[in-house]
Amino acid sequence: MKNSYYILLFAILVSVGCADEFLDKAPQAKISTTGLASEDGIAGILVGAYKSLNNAGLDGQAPWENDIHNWVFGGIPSDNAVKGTDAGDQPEQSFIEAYDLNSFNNHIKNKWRGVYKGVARANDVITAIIALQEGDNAMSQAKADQMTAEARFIRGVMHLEAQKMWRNPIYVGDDVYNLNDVNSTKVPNTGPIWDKIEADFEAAASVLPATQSDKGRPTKWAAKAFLAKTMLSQGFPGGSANAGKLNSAKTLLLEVVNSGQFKLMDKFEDNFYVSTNNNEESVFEVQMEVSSASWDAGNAGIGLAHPYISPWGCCGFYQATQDLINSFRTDAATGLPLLDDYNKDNVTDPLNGAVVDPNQSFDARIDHSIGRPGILYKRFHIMGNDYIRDITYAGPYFMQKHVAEPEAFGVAGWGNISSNNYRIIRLSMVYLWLAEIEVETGSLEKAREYVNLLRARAANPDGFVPEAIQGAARGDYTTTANPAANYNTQEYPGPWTDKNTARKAVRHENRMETAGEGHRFFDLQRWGVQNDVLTKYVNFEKQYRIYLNNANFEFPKNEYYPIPQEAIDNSQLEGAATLTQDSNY
Amino acid sequence: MKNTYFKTFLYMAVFLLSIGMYAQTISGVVTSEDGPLPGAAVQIKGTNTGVSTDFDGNFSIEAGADDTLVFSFVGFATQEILVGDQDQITVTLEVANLLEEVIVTTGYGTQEKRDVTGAVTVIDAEDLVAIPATTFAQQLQGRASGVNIINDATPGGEATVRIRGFGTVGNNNPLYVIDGVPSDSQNNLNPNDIETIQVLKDASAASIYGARAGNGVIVVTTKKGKLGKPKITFSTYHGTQNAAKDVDALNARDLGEYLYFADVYAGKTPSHGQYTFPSGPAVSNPTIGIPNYVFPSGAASVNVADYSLTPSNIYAITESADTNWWEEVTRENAPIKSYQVEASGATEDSRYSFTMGYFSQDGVVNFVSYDRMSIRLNTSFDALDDRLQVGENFTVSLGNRKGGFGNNSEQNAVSGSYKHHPLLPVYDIAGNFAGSRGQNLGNNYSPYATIHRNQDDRTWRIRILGNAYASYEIIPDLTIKTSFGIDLNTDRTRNIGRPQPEYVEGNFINSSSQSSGYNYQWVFTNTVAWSKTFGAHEVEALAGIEAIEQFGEYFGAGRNKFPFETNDIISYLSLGDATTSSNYGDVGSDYSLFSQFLNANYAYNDRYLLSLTVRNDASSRFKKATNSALFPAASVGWRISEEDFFPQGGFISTMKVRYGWGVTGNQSIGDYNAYTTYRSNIYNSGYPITGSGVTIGFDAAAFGNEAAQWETTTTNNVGVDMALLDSKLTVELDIWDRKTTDMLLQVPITFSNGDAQAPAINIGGVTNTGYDLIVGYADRKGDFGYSLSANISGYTNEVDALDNPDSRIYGYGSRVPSMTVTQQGEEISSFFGFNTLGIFQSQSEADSWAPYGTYNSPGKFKIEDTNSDGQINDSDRGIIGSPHADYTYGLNLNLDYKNWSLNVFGNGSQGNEIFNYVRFFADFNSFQGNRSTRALRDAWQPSNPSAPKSAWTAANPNATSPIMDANDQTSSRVSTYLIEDGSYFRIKNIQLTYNFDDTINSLLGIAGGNIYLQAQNMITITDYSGLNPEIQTGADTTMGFDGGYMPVSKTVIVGLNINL
Repeated sequence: MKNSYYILLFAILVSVGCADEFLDKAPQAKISTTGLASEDGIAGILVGAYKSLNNAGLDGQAPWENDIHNWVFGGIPSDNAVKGTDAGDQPEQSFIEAYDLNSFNNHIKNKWRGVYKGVARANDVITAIIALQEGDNAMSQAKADQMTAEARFIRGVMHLEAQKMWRNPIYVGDDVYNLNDVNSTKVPNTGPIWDKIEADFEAAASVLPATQSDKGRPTKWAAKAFLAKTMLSQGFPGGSANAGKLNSAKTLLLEVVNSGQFKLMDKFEDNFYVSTNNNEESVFEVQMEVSSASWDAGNAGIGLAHPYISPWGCCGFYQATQDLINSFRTDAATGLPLLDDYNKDNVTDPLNGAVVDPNQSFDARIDHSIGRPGILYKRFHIMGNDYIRDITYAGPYFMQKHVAEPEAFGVAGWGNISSNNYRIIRLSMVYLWLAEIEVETGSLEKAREYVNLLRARAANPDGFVPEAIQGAARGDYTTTANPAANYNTQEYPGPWTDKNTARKAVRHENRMETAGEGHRFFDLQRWGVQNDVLTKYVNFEKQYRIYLNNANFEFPKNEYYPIPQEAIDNSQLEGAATLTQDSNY
Repeated sequence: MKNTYFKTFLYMAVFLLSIGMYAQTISGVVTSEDGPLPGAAVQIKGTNTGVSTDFDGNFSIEAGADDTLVFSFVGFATQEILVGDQDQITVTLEVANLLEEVIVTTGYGTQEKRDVTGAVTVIDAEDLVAIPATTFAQQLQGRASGVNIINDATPGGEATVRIRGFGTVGNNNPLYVIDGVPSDSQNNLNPNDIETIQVLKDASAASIYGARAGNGVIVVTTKKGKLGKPKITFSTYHGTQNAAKDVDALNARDLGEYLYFADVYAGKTPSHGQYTFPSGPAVSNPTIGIPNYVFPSGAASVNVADYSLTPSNIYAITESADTNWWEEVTRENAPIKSYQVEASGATEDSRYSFTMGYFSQDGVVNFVSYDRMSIRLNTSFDALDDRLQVGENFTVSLGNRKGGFGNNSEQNAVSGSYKHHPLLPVYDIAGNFAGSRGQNLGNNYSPYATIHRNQDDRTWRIRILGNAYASYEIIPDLTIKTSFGIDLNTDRTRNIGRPQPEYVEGNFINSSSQSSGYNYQWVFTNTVAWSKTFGAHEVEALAGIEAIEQFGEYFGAGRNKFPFETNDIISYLSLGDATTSSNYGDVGSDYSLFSQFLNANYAYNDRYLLSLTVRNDASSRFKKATNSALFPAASVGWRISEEDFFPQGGFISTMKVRYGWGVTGNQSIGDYNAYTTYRSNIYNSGYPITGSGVTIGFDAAAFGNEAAQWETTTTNNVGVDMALLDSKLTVELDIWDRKTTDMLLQVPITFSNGDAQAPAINIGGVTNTGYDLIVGYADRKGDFGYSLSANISGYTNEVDALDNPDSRIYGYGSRVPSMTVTQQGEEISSFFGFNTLGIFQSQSEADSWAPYGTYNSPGKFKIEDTNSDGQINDSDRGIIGSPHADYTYGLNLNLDYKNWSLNVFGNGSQGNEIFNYVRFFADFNSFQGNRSTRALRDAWQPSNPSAPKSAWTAANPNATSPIMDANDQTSSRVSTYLIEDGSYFRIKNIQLTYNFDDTINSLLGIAGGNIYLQAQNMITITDYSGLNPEIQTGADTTMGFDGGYMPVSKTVIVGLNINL
């Protein structure tokens, strides 16, 4: 009997004795913060921060809700693009298209999430470096400075995105960011954050090297170009020029041009192929990569924005407007764009895309930017109505630049997703920006020179889309030696004497050069011309896209997007939200 | 000498006693209504002397004339009989009054129900097995007050169980304790193995389980052998199932009409890639032209030789059709069946029970089914004069879910049947599945092709659950017990991806993914129990220590491009293209718990009852500083009917009032909540930094919270148990509140801190208050017996606080923004959106309303301007409905006459609302697929469609759906239009049983048996328009979200039970 008590006592003692160890469960299959407190660890966190550039990798979002290509935020509310597909698909995009901008729109919410996740990751790098350098395990200061500069570059890019989206975004710096305090970044949004974005790019430019062996890392020229773009974005407050900002930008942009590291590709189209990733025209590219095993680092954000025909199948988003088609018209005699009355006649039938006047001449960039019926589309097939999901809804045209070439299709499980990089800044944009500045503060002739550089390239017949003849099967075609259309792009003979005309010409050139690259809505925004341009556009386009009857651009309200309600709700600190909604909403 | 005197005295005393208490041999029989009761206990009151009846119910015991014999048997009312001058006693035991004599397993011991002071519901095992089901939890539905069960009608589906409301925004699952082994899973157990289920609803009953009992505890005890000859039972049933409700979508012609009007009212010239519409001014009864072929679009004739379905040339010629997709995807008379063999018995020193079962159920949706095999063995052995008992309870089961159907999945057979275009046939002209290639046919997957291609998907699950134990009575009244239990689960999933070449967004690539995992939990429990009666004082005490550890891992992998698609090839990854490999692996669960507990029950004079419990838990889920907590509870009871002043034999037979208070906890948070951790994978942190090849970096995956501690739930419960009218009427009423404090909440992190997972922090609270009532009436008039029981329970739920007064925690969004919100002062997971006040009947009415962008016009919703700021915008969204029921209830009627018995059982829910997400697709201008009949027939339409919109007058002013408008997106925003009353009452079961009489028994050579006919789900009374008003919660911030639930089946079953 006594033995039984001993057994009981023993059992209790054993159990109590081992309790501490028994209850200690260190995380399995997770990486600890201390495990990353080293140069290699921080280098890895920095790679994670780069990941935020292509804005995939955000849990619980569809990648197109927060895509660096900005086809949703910069494209479909602009005069270049419509949502496409059918009326009911992704209604949240339809609301954006109709300027029915709601603070509970999931796309807008996830854009905010994605942008600030990138900021958080960059801050994580910087604070980790600071902590490491204070300890015994410090890396070389040069290395620390380089990584910090890269992180500040990323932080700048993300904040610039935020500033384009929202009138009063927040700026989150490493001074407030604390990984272990989820309240640390609840900072108020008190106004624009331009100066802080500039400071990040300036700091990055002062440290980053002139060349990088890793093509994904920014050079000092990339930082300067972004800094210049930041200044240019403040260059037209209320629609009139701010000479100080523009001239500061000019200095930077000339440094980029004069660095000698960049040159225009011979063919315009070479900015839009996987095979020409990281070419000499690119100042900075957001890198994409797919393999047969994974498309998790690919350009999933544009996955939906492919024609509705095999091989893509999905999903018919991101169609082009009639207004954009017409804007590529050129005068048959001069080969110059019709700056004022390009919409006077439709050059193709808005309902089926059929050519109205076969003699109509176009800028050659049209058929590298847009798919239109009868013309070879990115070497896949001759574009037809089968590209379109509901032609009675969004018309017969399709955007093209972001679509990878046939050789790069189908590498990943979802064939649409490719390694096609996003050229966020390329030299042609730098020239266009310089032209903008010259128009306002410098020489109109210099502006004309810059514009003509791009027109000359566009006129290169090697880059013309060839005429194609349909074969027996849908995908079969043969090309001829003829161009697909009457391309006629000529340089402005000059001289430019009227500032208004010059401005119009530069901006029109910008539209043609960058159509479908996600900048248009934001370019109109920074020029201060959204209200004028978009109101005109809606009035024109709604003749053919009936649903745009519901679209009504309200200025200044719709100049920017509303701050997501959920971001406001989640910014509660001590009983009050630190974020306040844009007063226009 | 002293010895001699003493001996003499002793002899004298014995002699005298022998005269006064002359012992004699009493023999007799103990029977029940059904015959002799073997193994009944016969005990001389106040002593340890007792015997058990033999196989024929006979007993024999030495007792004096003054002795009182106590006859008892589990499930029967105990009887006491004074011996007097009888030497033959025949006793017929009556079935126990549920309020009094039922043995309740409360935590680590048992108690008679009469002594219980907490809120405990005992479920009658016969009621449980009355309804064929996959899990025991499904069978609990409607049976226990205070327990809300929501079933899943898919084969192999489990039930959502909520006890007394929703205590937290986090995890509200109760703890299951199965033969002493704690578990959070109901799956894979054969419900027929269960002997009793008790639900410990309040803290005074549940706090012995401390940290995991905050959501209540369900204690399951499996069948044990009973004293007597070996008994072998064979049971089987076979049935057929048919969908209880069908999808109501438009036919091909009517969809054309809908599309015509949608274009007309949008101001478009009606046109379509397939249909032809009348041209000219709008007409109210349009002639809809249907083409011969939908691919090529709208063609009247084709060249069949053009047919091709190869990657380089897709030309799938498809004739037009008028397909009712719901008919295509469902089957009639889907079989359900079960077989079970059971052998059990016991001798004086050993008990054994063995069952083997097989259950299989085909879904009413084609190609979906479930089957399960299980074996259970329970044995125990006594030794050392019955002071030592060793035993085990073990079950092994293999479950297999087949095919692909997920409730809420956007492409499941239910929502697919609403959405898929009726012009499309199942097959194209070559006999391949027909796809939606062709203009304006939408991008829905063929619902039939989808389930057909998923038919070889499998989820196998093996579960081994049980314990081995030994107990030893060290000295009289003091027993130590040790028990080691284990719950081991492994599963494997096979998911085959077959090419969908006909699908407009499809491809020719096949794929296969496999995943597999295991988890185990072991529990080691040591207790010491003591009980003693001192005169009128009865004391029981139990102390114990317990250690629990759980760990699980899983991994999965996939490949594409297999050379063949037969199951013997595509099920095995090694045959896929290695360059397409993907794989993953992680820890599923990892925690440990170490606890000590003490429970004491005291009864004075059988009328004053007191119970005290305290448990100390320490959990690995919290940092050391916060990982240990005490959970106390106390309850008192007063059996008023035992008092002298209480009138005996009156209206009230017995009456007990109870009050309990206690604290329980909840630790259902992630295992590593305290730690900030990073992850490393290509999706979250892989970037091609070098320009070729992806470099995988790191990013923060989870934020840690070192300060987290238990969520605490404090419960008060007042109850009264009454038996009235000679115990024919029983009433149990409980009124309770549950207050959760230090709620473990994953407060949404401000986006600017990154998107790592939020840690659970202790913040805020929730209060539930409610009532549970059970009323039963049973009587017998000769051969006719009847019983009627009803239970009803309700609760109110209010979030007392979140991290900040204005915090809003949003739920699931899908293609619409989040439609539930949890905020202070409101119910958990309230519906959130716009309030529609009706439909504008004219332009002038629309113009006079608060503007909503360009939306307001005739036929559109009139949206409430809730903040009266003169415009409709984001801030007019508010709480527009509740997924919480006002009350849920069950009704059970039993009639028996001679050998016949009839059972009718129904259950219902009242006052809850459902967000009918299917209507987002079916009622609005969403994708180009089909629409519901509502969208056409109930839509507002103008009587003068060719007039300008501003002059429109209503053709049907009572319309409930908005005008058809091909350009309208705004109407589909989350609003009260999508919220429906989810109340229902369902006659769940009607069963007629014939118990074989002796003639049949002897003819068949069996000991007994019965045959029954059963009809399930024959009647459902509800206004809900979806297929099934039983909507499970998923996550508790997404309650009442119906994304396409499988309807219940009307099932007709014939069953047979034979006892040998």
